[in-house]
Amino acid sequence: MCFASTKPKFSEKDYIMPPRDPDTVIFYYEIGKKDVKCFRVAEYEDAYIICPSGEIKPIGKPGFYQIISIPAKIIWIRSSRFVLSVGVPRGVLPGGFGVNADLSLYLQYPEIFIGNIITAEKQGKISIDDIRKELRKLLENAVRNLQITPEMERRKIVDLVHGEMNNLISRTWLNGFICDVQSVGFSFECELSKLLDELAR
Amino acid sequence: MSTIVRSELESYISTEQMVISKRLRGIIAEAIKNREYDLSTSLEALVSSIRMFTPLKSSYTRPMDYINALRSYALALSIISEMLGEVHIGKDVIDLCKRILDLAKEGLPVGKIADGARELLSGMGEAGNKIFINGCRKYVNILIGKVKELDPQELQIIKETVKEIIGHVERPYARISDISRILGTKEKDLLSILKRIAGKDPNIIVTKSIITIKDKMKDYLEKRIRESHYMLIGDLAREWSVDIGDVLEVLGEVSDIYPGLEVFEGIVISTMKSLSDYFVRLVDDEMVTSTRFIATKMGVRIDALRKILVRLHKYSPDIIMGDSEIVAHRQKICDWLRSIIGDRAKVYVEEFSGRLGVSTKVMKRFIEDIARMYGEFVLAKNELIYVPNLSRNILSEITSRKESSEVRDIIKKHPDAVEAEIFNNINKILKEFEEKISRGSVK
Repeated sequence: MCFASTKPKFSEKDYIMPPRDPDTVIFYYEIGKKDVKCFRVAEYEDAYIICPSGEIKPIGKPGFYQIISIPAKIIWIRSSRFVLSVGVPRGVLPGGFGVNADLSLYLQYPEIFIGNIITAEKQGKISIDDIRKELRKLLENAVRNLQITPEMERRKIVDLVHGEMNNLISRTWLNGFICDVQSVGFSFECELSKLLDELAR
Repeated sequence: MSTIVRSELESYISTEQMVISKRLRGIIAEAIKNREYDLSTSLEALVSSIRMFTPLKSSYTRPMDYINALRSYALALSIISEMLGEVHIGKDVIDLCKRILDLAKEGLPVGKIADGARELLSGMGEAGNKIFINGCRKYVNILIGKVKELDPQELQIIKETVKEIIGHVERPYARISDISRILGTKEKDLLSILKRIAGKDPNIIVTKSIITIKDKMKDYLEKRIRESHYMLIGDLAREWSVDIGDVLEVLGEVSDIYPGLEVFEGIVISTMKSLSDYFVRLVDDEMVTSTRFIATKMGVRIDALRKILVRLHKYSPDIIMGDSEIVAHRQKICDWLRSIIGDRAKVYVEEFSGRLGVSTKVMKRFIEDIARMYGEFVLAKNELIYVPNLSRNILSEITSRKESSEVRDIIKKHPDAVEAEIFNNINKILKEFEEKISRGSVK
């Protein structure tokens, strides 16, 4: 084990934690020789450590921990659920309608996901926007693959998109997550879209 | 020592929490993928309960109270971890997990948690027993081998686990090596613990190779003796794969609660009544037999069987013995002799001894006793004269006036035996004649 639980620190200078930015979903940091050895895991985060031997160790519960052997990379992943609204514009999709969906992600295989995102950099982060961009691409591909039409039953559309999104996500850097499609909407149902159409006419 | 226990338990709890969380994470993801949102929500609540499932050191005034709480939490987590790996997760399983967690949260000692969990799991049938055994096995492994002195409650858990293991094998005993394999402990460590348990619980018998529960063993022996009247110590040792000494040790303990159970000559285990019944039944079928034949049939040493028979036949009035070599049924001995004699008036003793495979000397002594008991047989030197046949032959000689060589031979060799019969027969003939005259039917 390359880390151990330690007593709480009161000054933020004495420990490492992800930036207090609500847009940051994943943050990683490599603790080297000159860094503070203590880090914090908050109650809304899951954390993993890549030990010098390459093992990925999960941290069981929130608290303060001390790195025992360096270099070790710590990855914080926000565990609280957040719903992302992702839309694909009308012009991009065939059929003359745009699609939007409310999605949430659940981390199933942290080890796979960490393997996908870790780079050689000392620190890095993945924000909500990065994830949204990827999900938008996935939604576009899913709608193209499924050839759904607005006439289909809505529950069936959600089921189909849910299944296809989970098929596609395993082929992206978001592999390890399960995508939960909560709802699917069409551009002609959106008030703003209707207004823009009228203006264009 | 309490520091070792504390650190072992803390580390176990933290590891087990991670293992359970990881397992549940996979199940939640699958539930979300299959759009089973009720299940995923319940599981997420369970994950958060498990992540927070640690006793707070500051809540306990004495260090021992904290260690006891750690014990309870560790056992609860151990059982839950087994359950999640063993059964299909549904609402009922989640509910069961929460109830087991609550047992520990209520501050119950580890023994009570074991009892409570076993009761809760009993509703799951065979799977529940397996979960309980494996859960306890994991918990027991934290401490066995690392800690010399176990808490009485931990001894109780080991006892319950062992009882469950013995209760679920077809036989009422288990080899210590098998239990140590199931529990994943060193045989030596387990043996010393089991001996301590046996010292406190008179219902448990521990030898150097096996462990058994006294009342279950009694039922088992009763059943076996009822079915086959007796068992051989050697067979039991082979069946249990232990030394004969271990078998005798177990039987010695069981005899406390099994009145009449006895080890005969160190080779046969039965009760006086069952073994006597067996011999009576055997001689009832055979009529007369030899000790050698019975010894071969039972698979025991002849000298040992002789001693057993000599002792037992005193309590079985149906059995008579001849020099501890011949065993006969009192009511059937004459039938047996008659069946061999047939129509003949005399038979050499060698014929009987040859039939049984015993020495002529022994047979002669035996027939001598029989002849003394039953007047129809007369032993003259090495010949057995069957009086009714002799009498019939004499009568036939008188009425037909034809000499029989057999009768002549007997008259020559044993005149005393024949003389009485001649007089008897003449008397009989005269009586018949007198009756005929008095009825006036003589022509």
